[in-house]
Amino acid sequence: MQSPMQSPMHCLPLVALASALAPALAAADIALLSALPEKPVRYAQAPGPIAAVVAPFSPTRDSSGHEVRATGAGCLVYDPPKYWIDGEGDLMRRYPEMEIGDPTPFGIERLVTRGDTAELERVIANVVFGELVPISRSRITLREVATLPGLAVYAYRWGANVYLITRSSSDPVRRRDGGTGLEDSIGCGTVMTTLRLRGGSSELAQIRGTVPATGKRYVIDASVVQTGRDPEPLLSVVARLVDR
Amino acid sequence: MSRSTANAAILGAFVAACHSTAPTSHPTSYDLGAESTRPRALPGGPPEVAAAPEEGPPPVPLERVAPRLGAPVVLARADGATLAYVADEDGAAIRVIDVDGLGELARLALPGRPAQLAILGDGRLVATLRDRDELAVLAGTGLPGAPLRIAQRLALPAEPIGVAIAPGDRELVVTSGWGHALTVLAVPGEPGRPLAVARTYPLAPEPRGVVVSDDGEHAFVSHAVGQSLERIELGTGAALALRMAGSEELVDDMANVARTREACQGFALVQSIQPAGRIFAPQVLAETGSPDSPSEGYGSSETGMEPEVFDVAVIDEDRGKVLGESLRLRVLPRAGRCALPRAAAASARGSLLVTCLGENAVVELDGASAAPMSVELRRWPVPSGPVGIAIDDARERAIVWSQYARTLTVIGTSQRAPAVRTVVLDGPALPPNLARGRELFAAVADPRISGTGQACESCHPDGRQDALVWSSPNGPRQTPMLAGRLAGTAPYGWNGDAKDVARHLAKTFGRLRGTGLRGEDLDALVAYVTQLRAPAPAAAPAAADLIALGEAIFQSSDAQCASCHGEDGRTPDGMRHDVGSKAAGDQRRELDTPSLSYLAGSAPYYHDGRFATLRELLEQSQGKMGQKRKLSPRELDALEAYLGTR
Repeated sequence: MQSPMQSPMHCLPLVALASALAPALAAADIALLSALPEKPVRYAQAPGPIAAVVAPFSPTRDSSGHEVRATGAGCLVYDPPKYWIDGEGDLMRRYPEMEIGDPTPFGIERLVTRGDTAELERVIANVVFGELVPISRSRITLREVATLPGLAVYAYRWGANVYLITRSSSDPVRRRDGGTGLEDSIGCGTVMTTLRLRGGSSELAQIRGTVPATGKRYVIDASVVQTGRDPEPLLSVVARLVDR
Repeated sequence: MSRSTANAAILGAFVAACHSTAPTSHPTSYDLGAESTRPRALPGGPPEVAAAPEEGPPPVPLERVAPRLGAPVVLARADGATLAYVADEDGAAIRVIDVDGLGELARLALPGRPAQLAILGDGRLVATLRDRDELAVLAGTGLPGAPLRIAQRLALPAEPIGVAIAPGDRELVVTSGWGHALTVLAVPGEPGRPLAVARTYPLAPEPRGVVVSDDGEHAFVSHAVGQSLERIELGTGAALALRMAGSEELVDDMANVARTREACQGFALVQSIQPAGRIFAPQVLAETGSPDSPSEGYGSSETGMEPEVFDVAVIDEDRGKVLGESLRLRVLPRAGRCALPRAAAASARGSLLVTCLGENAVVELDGASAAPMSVELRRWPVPSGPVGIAIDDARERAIVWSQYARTLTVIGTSQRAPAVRTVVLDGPALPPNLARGRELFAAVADPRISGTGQACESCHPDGRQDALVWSSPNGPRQTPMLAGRLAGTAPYGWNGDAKDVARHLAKTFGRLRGTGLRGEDLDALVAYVTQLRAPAPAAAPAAADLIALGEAIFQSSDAQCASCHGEDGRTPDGMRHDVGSKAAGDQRRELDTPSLSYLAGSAPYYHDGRFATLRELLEQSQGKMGQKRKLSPRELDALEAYLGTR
């Protein structure tokens, strides 16, 4: 008899939110949706510098603008709030750098961790005379829902939707059902996905990426389910290291 | 009794068991093709074979580890010891194993081959005897002072397999595979009193696993064939068929398309523990190809299209609906693999463990996911033939029964230090060539047999048929039943191209992209498939005079059925005929005359499965297979009734 096959995957229980749950679910590896922090209706204002740099850009003799590059693993988006993770637009249109015409507002979305806390920081900015000028700032408190060595997966909710956020050092591939069902190449250091209860029962998503600190590939599988017996949707998240 | 005393007693019993001689009445026949002599189930519910009042509850009460589940291996605790009761189908016995010491404490020879066991609320064990059409109720625990013995035997519809206990322990439900029935038995409130058949409901073909909902209102039943899972209202028998077919997302020209996959191999069925309210139904989703387009093998010839894919359907127990995501094979890379899923158990930690007969493995899946099959957490290799699994959550371990290797494996499921221990059970088993043949029959990764991930067992679950129609090089082909149908029915294959089984197997290996099997292994596989255990003789719900009339019609020169299928319908003429049944994808017109043995349970009919029922076949094939005149409705009734007895 052989010993158990050494799986290439490092497995973790689903979601480590037991302390936030009702006593009846204290031993479970699942999370009620209400255990996740909810996106605030009005954002708190986040102080500090804008995590981006700007430089003049002239692709042709007759045109000019500015090139903005995110720093600190932020993601740039056109036309916020449409292309925030919880906006109406798809997540493909998120970039580590992009060209901005003056004066077109753009967004910077960034995962910020400080000790045990994590926040999704958002800034809507503009380029005025070559300078980055903030228009509004906000931040959303995140909850850690799964970990791997060197990586944490965070979540927040808005209504019945769940938003998952983590880091990746490569071009991460993020896929989920709906629409074309295949969306990828975010290209910035933060990777996100959305789970929406379609038809009122279930949805699942997968994130594949690379742990920045170790270069190891990972897969995160997540789903939300609400059966007739569940008082509210349940989130499960499994993070694993994989060979490829 | 103190813990140390109990352990000493257990050790003593183990030593005694090892030196005991098997009773002379112990079944030793291995003729898998032997005709059964078991009693037939009667319309309106089977009679009780024997019943004896009990003397009282066992002296050492059993504490059930998984209270309401039936399985080939079930767990109980008695005075601190954990006992595994194993349904030793090959040995026709129940084996009692001390899970901590892995010693055999006791064994009880049975009058038939046990498929599943369950423990009643009063500590009695029940066993479905698949080849005897009976349920055996046992007294005792197997511990010293309480030897196991048969207390009661109840007749059930043909081939009882799955068993489950309703909440409150007052009802027991049993599925009958070949008898297509669900039997509800009343369990008296007073411990040790005889059970009685309360109600019998018809089911769709080939039921296997069963669970009772937490409210006691419904039984959920899986099926090895037929693309549906049934929810039966226990009070009335009203059935709701839950469609289990799936879909697969494909990326085609940058757009997503979905292709339907057909469901089969619904053997296991288990309720979740945490979160509660879900029922897991491991199964296989098959891509059988287009009937109009001949393929290179079986199923679609498209690159990357796997013919069979593992799936775990999740049923919302309270709503009686399947979670859509669990039937959808998505573009997401699939992590979960399990060829020939045959047993499952849910853990209190939220995971689902499934045994994979084709890979001799156990996989742990995320039971909280909307699609558990896509989230494989861990995997353990286990000895050959894993057909049963039970979880001991309190001790963080799973106990797996490998029927082919006759081995019980204890897997530590703790994340900290997983450990595996095994014990091989002695006693009668299959003769070596049949045992080898059986392993080959279920081998999905033997390159000599298959390069597609399919085994013989994939399309012939339990040696029967999957009720599917596969695209093949010759056209659409309904999977024929093997068990009890091969002896004396040459040539083989729908076109009758192989004069013996070995030659037909060679063709099949080629279609499965296998390199071919030779020598002793080929002999073993041929021996196994030709001696597969036949189902029970069909029950005869129709009146004897109607069956007699049907037999007369069958054998008449007017109808001319017997001229090709033989006087008894079981001895075909070995010829090929053009009966006007060429389908669009068929390459040839002439087809081999099939045996009609076990016809009633082998729908759909014709080589391309065009007829869903026997009646459809009889009505729509008139004039094409020998009849010179149209049969009256009563004559059709009679012919259908007679064929139902074949």
